[in-house]
Amino acid sequence: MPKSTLSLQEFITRAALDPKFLSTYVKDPSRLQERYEVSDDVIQRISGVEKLLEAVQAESPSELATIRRNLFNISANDTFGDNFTDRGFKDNFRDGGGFTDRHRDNG
Amino acid sequence: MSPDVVPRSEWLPFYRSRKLGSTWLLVSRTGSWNILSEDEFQSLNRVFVPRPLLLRLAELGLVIYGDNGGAILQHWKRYNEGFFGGPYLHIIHLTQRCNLGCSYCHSSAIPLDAKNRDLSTRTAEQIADFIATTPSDRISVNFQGGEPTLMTHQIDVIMTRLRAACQANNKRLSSSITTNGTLLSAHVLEVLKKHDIAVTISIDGPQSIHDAIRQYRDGAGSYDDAIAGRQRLRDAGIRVGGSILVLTRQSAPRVREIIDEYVALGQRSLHLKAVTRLGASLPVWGELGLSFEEFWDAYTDGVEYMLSLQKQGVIVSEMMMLLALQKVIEGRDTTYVDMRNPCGLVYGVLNYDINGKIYACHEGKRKTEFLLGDVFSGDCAQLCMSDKAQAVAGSSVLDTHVECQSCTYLAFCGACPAHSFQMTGQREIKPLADFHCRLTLSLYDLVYKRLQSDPAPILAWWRHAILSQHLAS
Repeated sequence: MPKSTLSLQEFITRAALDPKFLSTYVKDPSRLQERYEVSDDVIQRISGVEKLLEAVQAESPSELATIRRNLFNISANDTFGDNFTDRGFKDNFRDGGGFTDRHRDNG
Repeated sequence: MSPDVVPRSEWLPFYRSRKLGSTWLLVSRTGSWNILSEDEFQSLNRVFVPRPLLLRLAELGLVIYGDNGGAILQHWKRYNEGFFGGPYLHIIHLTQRCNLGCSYCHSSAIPLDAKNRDLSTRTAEQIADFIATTPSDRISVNFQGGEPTLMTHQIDVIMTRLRAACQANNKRLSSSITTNGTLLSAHVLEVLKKHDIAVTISIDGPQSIHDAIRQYRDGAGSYDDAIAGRQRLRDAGIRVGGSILVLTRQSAPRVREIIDEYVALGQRSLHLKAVTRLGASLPVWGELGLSFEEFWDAYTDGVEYMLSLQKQGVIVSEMMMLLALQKVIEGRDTTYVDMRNPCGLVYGVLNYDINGKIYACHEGKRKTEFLLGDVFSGDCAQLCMSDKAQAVAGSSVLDTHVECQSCTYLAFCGACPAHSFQMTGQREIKPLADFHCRLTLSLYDLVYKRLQSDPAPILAWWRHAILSQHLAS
């Protein structure tokens, strides 16, 4: 059966809608090539931003907070922007329900 | 006294509050936030406040308690990082002439045969040299008109000089052009490609909407030529940027059709914006202009529709809501000049007219109240520190307004003195009555309600933006 093609834009859209899609392939990009017709450029780009990929597939608030620091170069001593720390995340939404059930469970 | 409570003499509130459904939203002046139950909020109003609650809010910088005062100030500095690093967005008007005569043209463009309405080569050189003196370490140039693609020679002159200056001074350079897309000859494409200029083509929606607004001087619609121009750009490998979708009284009820048009064109980011009361729209404002309520109805309908498209695997995000989301989630300012306090006037953006005069912003051009000087004398740093520049920029400082001082969303807000001037004849905004103020209040209410009730679709927008920024750039 011929493989379907996957452009970079399509990859980004799929990953944005479904972080699990991202986590499935980031650890082993060759699996992406097994399943899809995908260019070496796309594979290279994905492989080169591991830190970012951790961010968007993060499942726990603390993971998000740590990676947000890396992404935006925020000092480790500065917690006030951390609406996603374990505590802040849980507290922010203690009555509002949390971002998702998964996140709420982790919080 | 019980160790479980703290008297009010030991802490200071650093938050503004807002009722959100059955909960209370607290936002600090530096953009951190927390949501409290009704009971928690009421306990915060007592003389003796529960210590665990206070510790929680202190950790987030929502109250000044213990020794967190210095850290709050550090966070404030970081939140405003780059605000006063010097103007980085430089909007250059290359000509007043245009082959179209659009019904709401804010530039009041004039026909092609008009004389002395173009930027001269000498002035183009002066503008480039002036821009190069900005203290900012990045320069973003935006070419506008009239129709800027009429002026490829001046584009070449400016970009060549700026590239050399930026290389010499280790500054980053990027550029864009806003065009009607009908004059994209092979030569124009060559210049755009040579300087890696991103292109925004103004398309107002399906052909019937576009052609009713954007017409040639003989009254013929320009839709087919604009679409063909967009395709030529794509074929040439030139970047086509996000689009500002200007809603009028006629087009607002058809917002879903307009979004469909952009999705079909492959656009994945839109800015839903109300028509501005400038230029050619002034005499027909009664026909075109939208009240806030009319705009907000169309905006929310558009946003809901864009979010619903995710069920079909399509992500198309609304820029203002995405910016608001980024501020809330990432705890930093986005530096978007129209949504910051003070706004981008002077210290974020400068506007250059065809005669070399410098205005504080794009919407303020050719208005004495926003005129700062010209490119023939002084440099950018001197201009920014002038009394006039500080007075103009100061008119967008929101902390001076009583209404803003108590507003929950002050940390996220931004005013537009040029818009205010157009509506009221004064640069100073009138909070609560001002269009931007009402938009901010409604927008952030919408973001927080979404985050509380149905976060997955807007978080997909956020992920898409981050992934695009890091993977596709």
